[in-house]
Amino acid sequence: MSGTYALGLWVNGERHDLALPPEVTLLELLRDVLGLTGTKVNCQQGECGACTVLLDGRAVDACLTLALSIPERRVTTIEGLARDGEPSPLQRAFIAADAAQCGYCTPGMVLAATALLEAGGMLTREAIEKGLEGNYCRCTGYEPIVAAIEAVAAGDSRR
Amino acid sequence: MRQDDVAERVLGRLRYIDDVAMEGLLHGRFVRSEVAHARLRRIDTARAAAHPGVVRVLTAADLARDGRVPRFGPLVADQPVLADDVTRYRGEPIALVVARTKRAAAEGAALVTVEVEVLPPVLDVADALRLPAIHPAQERPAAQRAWAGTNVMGVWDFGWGDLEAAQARTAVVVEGRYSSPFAHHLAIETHGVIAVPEPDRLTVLSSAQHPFVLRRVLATMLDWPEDAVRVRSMPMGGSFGAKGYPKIEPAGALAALALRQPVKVVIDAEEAFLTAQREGSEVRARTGFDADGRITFQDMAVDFLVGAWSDISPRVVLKSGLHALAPYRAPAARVRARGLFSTTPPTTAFRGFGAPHTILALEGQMDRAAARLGIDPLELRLRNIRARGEPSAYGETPVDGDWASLLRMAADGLGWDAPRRAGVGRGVAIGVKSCIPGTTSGARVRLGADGHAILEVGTSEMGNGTGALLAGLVEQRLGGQARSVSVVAADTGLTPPDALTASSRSTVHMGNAVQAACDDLLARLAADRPDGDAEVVGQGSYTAEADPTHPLGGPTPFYEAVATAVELTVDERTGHLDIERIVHVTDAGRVLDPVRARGLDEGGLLMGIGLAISEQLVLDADGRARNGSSLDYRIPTTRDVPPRMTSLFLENSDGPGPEGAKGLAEGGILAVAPAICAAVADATGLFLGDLPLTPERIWRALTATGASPTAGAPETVRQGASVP
Repeated sequence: MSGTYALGLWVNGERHDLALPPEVTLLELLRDVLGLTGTKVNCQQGECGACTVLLDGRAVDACLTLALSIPERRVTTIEGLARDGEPSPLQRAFIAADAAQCGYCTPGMVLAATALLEAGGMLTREAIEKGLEGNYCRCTGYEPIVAAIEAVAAGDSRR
Repeated sequence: MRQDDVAERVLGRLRYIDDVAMEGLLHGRFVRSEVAHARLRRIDTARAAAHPGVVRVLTAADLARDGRVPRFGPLVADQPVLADDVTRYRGEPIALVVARTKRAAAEGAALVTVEVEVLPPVLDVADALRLPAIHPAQERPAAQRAWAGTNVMGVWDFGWGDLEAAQARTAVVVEGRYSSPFAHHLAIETHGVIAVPEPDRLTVLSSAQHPFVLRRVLATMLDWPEDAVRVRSMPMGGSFGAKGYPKIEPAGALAALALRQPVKVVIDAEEAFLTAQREGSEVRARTGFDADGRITFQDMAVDFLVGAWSDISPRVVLKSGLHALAPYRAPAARVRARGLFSTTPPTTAFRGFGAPHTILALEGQMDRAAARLGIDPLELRLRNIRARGEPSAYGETPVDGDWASLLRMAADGLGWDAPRRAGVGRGVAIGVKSCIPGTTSGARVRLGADGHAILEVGTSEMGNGTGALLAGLVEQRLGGQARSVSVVAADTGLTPPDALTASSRSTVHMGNAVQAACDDLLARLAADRPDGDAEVVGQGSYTAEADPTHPLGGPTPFYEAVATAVELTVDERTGHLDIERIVHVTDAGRVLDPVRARGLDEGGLLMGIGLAISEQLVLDADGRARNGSSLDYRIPTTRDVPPRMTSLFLENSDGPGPEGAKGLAEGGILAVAPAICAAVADATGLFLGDLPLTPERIWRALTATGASPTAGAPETVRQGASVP
């Protein structure tokens, strides 16, 4: 049996100091230890993107990230995206575009798209499609998701 | 209301089954068979049972009642909760390790060893017909006794007219072979269950599409009254049929009862591949035409490979056969639909419920015939399409829409007659699916003194958006009487009975029930306005016509009819398809939620594209899934969306639902595969009938025939050409 190791990190702006076994993934830390169940589980192989979270602003697969490998880093999950209870402009655009049906891929999709938008640069339709290639959605056909991101990229974040 | 539902998903607040935690919850993990077909000799659970955190390791022997592990199923109880004497597919649950944590359960499961005597696997239609029966004759249920001792699950024959006489009036006979492989739903959420035992009662939370079916199946298995089991369907992260009928819930329930503690089982994505697949099929078709291109006869034989258990497959096979010929007139017809058992992962309902398998063949025949007769494929279809009011098969509901208009709208949307670039192929196809007959939905509306209305319905939520649509109907119907509406859904302990959330039936059935409940409430209000805090309750229900003499138990309440037109190019060097445009038209009767309706159609189209060009479960010679993971199976991504995708609706208010609505959630998938096949034929002259049309398959066919992509109809047609 493995022992535990100390880990300090920030999740949605909140400091956590924990003692964890080495095999615990960021996904398990978020869902099972911190109870942040907004981050979803599917393939656990880094293929589907359902568990995408932001690590210092960049999109990562929480299932492939060992918790102990990210000391002192800043993690943002879907629970941490809203400001003072207000959905982010991208979240508002998702709602307006009906970009979620079952909603299971949605948290990962929103975070992956947030990272895309925050990376800056020209977000062409092709760049959006390329940037979200690693996030599976089985319901929507992707069209409303891409449209929502385009709308925000174009500075239009109407409700 | 729909936007509120989307918001809780976009904010990550919606709780699905895996997000539910409770005090004292144990976690179960299946030990699965490593072989497709084998006699189980010995299961060694000692090391697993001694593993830290493991509470119990359950095998069939531990769950036996009256000396045998219970069987379950929605139609016939033939699926063992855990394999007992024989395992019948690679991935079948053999034991359930129950532990205090998920991780301990997984570690324990890896420590269980199984000794087996390998039996020959039954992996395809030829195997099923040639090899010994996988089920002992004496174990076949009464409904299947006629085929005891064989691998035949059932055979359904349909037909009308005089086939012999029709041949005499025939100028051209077209023959074709078509096949669809096993394919996985790949809902992003897998299956999950939490079973909570109480003395003489059981509460089950589940990712279940049909809570009332699950309640019945569990109560039957336990030999308990139905009201001793309460099923609460959690919102699902997609289903597409996969979560329609009981899968892992019986094991979860028996484990919880054995341990007298709540047990949670959530399977992983690779296990989901081993839990639900779409039936594989092979179709042989012969179609006769007179010199004017009018169908003289249809002769179709369909074999479905269903895995080892019946599940809902008898209905899939029967329905697929009965409605195989729905869109076109045929003076004489013969259809034989047969279901065959195999030692492959279980099959179940999948968006389209068997219809896409035969639509592929029916429409493929039309394109082969059009080339042969020198008639435009759209024109040939219009010459044969049934008009409103004609029966679609014997005893069936008369055609309730303008199917010719659907085809024209889709083709016109593409600019059917407009000139095209060299190498561009166009195809159009119609898809017609019937809806489950004879079922009932009930609804209750409670209006409190505070003006808040609560709608109670059995309809489950998996991305369909029906709850919001129904709440909108309540707002509309109650007008100023209700200040707000909330929905309580899919809980057998709270909501009136509802047959199922499937078959695109809920807008019609539950929509009508909700309106009736509102009218009942309004009548009560008018008759006797309550004093003080009293609540007024309205109830309503809707039942579609039943007919015990009908093969399906009744005529279809409506037809789900669509047409899809596709424009694509084929890269002759690589065999790669580039789908440039899709125009899809749905006969919606009346669209009640245009935004979600379009989203459902587009989602169905992309799923249909995946099934047409890439998706298939590949089994090796031992029956092991070679690509049974998200990584290897691969569904369409953002990169696979056609640059131009148009979704249109035909609205004639001619459906049985509110404002003349029909159902529409499955339609996107119905006609896209044959439309793609038709466009490939148009571009290359190759009539391919085996799905999926992978680049390799197309390239091999191009190479084998020396065909090359050219514009327009090919000069020579290779009849029934298909790639092995």
